Amino acid sequence: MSWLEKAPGARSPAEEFFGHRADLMEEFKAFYGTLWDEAVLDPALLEMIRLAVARVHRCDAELAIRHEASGLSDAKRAALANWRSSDLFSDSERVCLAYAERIPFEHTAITDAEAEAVKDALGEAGYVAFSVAGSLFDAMCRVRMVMALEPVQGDALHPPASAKGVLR
Amino acid sequence: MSTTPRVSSAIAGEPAHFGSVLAHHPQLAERFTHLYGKFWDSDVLSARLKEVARMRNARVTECGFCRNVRFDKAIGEGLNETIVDDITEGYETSDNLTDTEKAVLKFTDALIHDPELLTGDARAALTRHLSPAQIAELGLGVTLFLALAKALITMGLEPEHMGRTELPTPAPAQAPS
Repeated sequence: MSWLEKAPGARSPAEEFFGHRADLMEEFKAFYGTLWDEAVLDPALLEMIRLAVARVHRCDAELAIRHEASGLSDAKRAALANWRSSDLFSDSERVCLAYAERIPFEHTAITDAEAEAVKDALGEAGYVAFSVAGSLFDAMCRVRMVMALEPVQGDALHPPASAKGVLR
Repeated sequence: MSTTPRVSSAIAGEPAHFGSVLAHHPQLAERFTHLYGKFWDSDVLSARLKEVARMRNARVTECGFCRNVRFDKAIGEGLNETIVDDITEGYETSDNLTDTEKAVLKFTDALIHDPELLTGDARAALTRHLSPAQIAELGLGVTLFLALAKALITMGLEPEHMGRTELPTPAPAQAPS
């Protein structure tokens, strides 16, 4: 349980914290939610990246969020822990997963070749979205851990954020 | 760490920087600009405390751009280079930083580096000096500072050479669509 009192009217552990600044939280939801609302990347790939970053952090609160409508299959979701040895993932997905796992603790060591590989896989605009998304997933894991936010319960069909939805 | 942009500007005639690169996704850019402006415009947490946290994030993430930029609102609230110079290892013993600023720095370190740093004493200090609304605003700010710094670095948008640069504090843009 978080060490900070809960914001009134919160609908999730993240809102219990950010809801103390409700107007800013609404703006943050609009920004963060753009990743899903505007589908800046394939939602299944976005889900893979989010979970890959969360796995590096061992962030139970982030891992508990399941965006089931993302299109990420149960088989792939289950295989993410062993994606390097799994044959379920494409070469493009492997490149993205390897890069995503570097963001939490090795962001300064990412090479031009690694960046080029992701750009080849996603295109230039896709690489921009990927970089922003991966960095936000890392930061969200970290804020969940420092605030000791509880894993979200139920209501799994929705993305982690949406301009008009709940911040999970 | 690359100082050569790994992506091009999406705005004709502009070099690659965070805003021009993010413009590959206009709605993402518009909503970030609006959020960041609203965050800096809020006085629930002072701009000086926000800048103290931003400076710490810049040092820990090794974001050269972030480290060299100063926002004028924080300078107007008394943040000077003597204080900024103390936002380094051993800040706990600084005579120039206030107890509130030290509590903010400990929270920032815990968020961007190691959550175990926010011990019971550090939490107590934070809640003694800041209200829940201020802690939430700080948490949102550090989340944005961290994500922004890592996105800048990974996209190769770090400057090769940059001196200290005072900039107008981000302000709310027109409400996004």
